[in-house]
Amino acid sequence: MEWFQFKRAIPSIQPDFIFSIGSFQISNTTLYLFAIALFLFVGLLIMRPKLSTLPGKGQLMLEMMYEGVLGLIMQITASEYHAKKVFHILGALFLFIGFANFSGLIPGLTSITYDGISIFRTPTADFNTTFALAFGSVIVLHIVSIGDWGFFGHLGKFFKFKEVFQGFKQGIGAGFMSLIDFFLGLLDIVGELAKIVSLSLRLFGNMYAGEVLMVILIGSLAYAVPSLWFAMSMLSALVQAIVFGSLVTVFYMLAIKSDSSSEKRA
Amino acid sequence: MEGLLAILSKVGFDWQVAFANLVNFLIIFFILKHLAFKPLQKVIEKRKSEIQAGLDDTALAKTNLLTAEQKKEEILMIARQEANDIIAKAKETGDSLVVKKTEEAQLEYNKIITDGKKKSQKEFERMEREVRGQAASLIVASVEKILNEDLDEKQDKKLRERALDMMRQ
Repeated sequence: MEWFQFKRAIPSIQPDFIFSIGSFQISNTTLYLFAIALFLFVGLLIMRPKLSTLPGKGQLMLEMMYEGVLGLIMQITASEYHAKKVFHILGALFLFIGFANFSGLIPGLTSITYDGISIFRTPTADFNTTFALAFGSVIVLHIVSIGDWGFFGHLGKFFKFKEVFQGFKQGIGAGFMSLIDFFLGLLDIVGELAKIVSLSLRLFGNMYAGEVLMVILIGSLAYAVPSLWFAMSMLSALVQAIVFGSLVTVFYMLAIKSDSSSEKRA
Repeated sequence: MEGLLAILSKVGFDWQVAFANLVNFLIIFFILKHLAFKPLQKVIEKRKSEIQAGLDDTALAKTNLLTAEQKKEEILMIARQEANDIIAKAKETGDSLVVKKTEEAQLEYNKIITDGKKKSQKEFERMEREVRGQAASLIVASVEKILNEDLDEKQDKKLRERALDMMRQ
């Protein structure tokens, strides 16, 4: 296997720190995300006054993304009311992950180094980014659930004391069934933690593995195969953004009441 | 919990970086919300309302066109009816006028003929009188010549009367 070798360093799974502000260390993914935020801010600030009912090419592209994401959320929620209600946060999540995934595929960008460390690293290939997104999403979902069910109603989804009391009131059989339901409710607390871990590890695993494989393929096979894998990575970047966003949308629909009173009011 | 953190640290978990990246996401969320989503939503809503207004206008124009065509047909029908009435009335008036004028012309004709006859008669009588007078004078003159004598006024008058009587006979 001597003919199969690569000379490029495999990106570290640990975050690479570029500099620190006091005791707060700034990683390359944080820097890249900040650069993306700055780019978006400047770009959209320039674009905003040019928005009109007769769109140009740039506006058309933005509108296509807007309509595409809104349509996807609407398909999952099967409700225009809920889709519009959560669009801003979920749309931002979709686009943020998509943009972050694609930003890692810009050729040459990760080769810019400072003190031997790549300044720009695919943000989603860092577990801290995906964890932050998953953690933030689950927190938002709990806030939404409290808003829909009320504080005690929301806690009642995990601690089903009322159901146990009512079950034993009906009879022994129903009581034992409600006890099982009670333990399942407790398991749901673990499920909430698992949501964070599964969401973050799925995205991170796919993106990090893709990045590692890209380095291996570019380092060992110079022609054809890296191009194919590059195309595959673009597809993966899009799919992972859709998967993460779709899962959070599904969790949102599970968090609210099925016959949401807020929808009826609207 | 420590065990979980230990496992997570193996994949590079660092709460400081995670927190910084979450803040970055929130910044991007606010940028997208205020500079992209809301303005785009406004533009799309405006375009939709403009398209809807255009469609409504088109539907209204179609309805107006149909109403106008119906009204046009009604007006044309009324106009045709009125035209027919006017033509019928005009024909009726024309016929009666022709009859009236014909009668008037006939009366005028008759009057002219009668007057002509009367005038002719008078003229004839006047001429007759003149001819007779002249003829009487001629006869008297002839008789005087034949007799070679002057008649007195009394004889002359008597002769004239006799000549006139003869001519009348």
